[in-house]
Amino acid sequence: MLLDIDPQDSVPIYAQIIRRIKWGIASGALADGSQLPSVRELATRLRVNPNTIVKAYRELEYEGFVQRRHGQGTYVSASGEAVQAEREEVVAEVIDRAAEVAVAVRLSEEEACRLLSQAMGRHRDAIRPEAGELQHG
Amino acid sequence: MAEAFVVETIDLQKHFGRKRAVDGLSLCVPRGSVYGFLGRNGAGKTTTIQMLMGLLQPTGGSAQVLGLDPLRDYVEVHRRATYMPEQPSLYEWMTVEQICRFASQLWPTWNQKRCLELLDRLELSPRDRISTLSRGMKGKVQLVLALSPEPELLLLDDPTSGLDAVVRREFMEGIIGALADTGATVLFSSHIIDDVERIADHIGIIDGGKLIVQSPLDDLKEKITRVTVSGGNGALTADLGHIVSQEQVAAERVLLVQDLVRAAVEKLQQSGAEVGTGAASLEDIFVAYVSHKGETS
Repeated sequence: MLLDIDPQDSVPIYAQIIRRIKWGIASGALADGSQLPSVRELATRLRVNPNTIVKAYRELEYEGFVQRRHGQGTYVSASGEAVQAEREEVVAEVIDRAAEVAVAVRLSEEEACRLLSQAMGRHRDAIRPEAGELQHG
Repeated sequence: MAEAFVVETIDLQKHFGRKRAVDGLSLCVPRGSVYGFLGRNGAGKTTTIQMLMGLLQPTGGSAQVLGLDPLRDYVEVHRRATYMPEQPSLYEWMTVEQICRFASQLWPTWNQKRCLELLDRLELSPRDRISTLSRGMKGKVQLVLALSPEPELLLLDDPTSGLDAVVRREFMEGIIGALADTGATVLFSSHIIDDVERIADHIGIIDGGKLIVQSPLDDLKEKITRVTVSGGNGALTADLGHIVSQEQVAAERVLLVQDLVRAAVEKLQQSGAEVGTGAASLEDIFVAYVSHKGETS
């Protein structure tokens, strides 16, 4: 899984874990109904306090991203809308910073949008090399 | 069983001749927490832990461990709390298997299944003689002996000092696995900040025998901001909040500020200063508290 944490980050570890799991859900890497690692397993793998994992899972449950089934484990359980909202949120967060810079250097909206769509095109090619190859070939 | 604090000391003192190794320490370790006890070498960490285990008699003040008096209730404390000294102390002539069997007779709560699992996970061969083991392997044996009784409280005195990165990792994983299974309270002293930052949820920083910070780790990180300032009216930095430390790096002043006042940042910016604010790592915080004594105003 795409999980790793940076203990020196100012973001508390449990919040980093929440963020990574939400990313996984938003990107589809963690499909609806899939099981998350057990508290013990994830704590050992990340070398963090088990209570930190419990806290993260509890918060995710409260926000409606996972379901904890007693004695069975924790499962992804996010509605389509919640997933869509999260996808928008993770992107909105980084776009906000880009927008701040764009305004500061007085870039027009059209120019900024063009940069965004160019960048998205590049990343799409990078994620799907076979598609890129087809286009070039 | 129900004490909120598994370890509680009030004004604990230990003097060796004229040296005050521990000088008025009031420590509170909440039940179920992992308490990182940080301090430089010679700050008083080991002396404190030895008093908690009843191995040293305090010069003054009091200590309670699991609601017990470590000196009066020595046996009961040692039955419910285990301790890993900084230097492994094991019977060198025994094999790993023999020392485990020996220890299992001392603890009514000894879990043989856990013992075998740990030996396996830490790649220890039961037949090896202690005297033939490296420093790291001996540390691992000591850890198995500390975890197998499934203690309510685990006291680790700088458990990973002198271990290589691989062994350190196995070590932390062993501790975390046991924690996940038993929910024990852990107090561990360390000077390896990364380990502490990963697993501790409470932090105590000791310096010169005194506790200078005690807080949940997340609160501590939230409260303290790293601020960089260049240009502008330097005198205005005094209004930023409680300044824990500051140093001049070339044209830039770097400050660690407790309870940052946002309005003061704006004022400083209006005076023409370039101000950056960011997160302080535990290492920043540790260094700030133990090397500077805050602003003297």
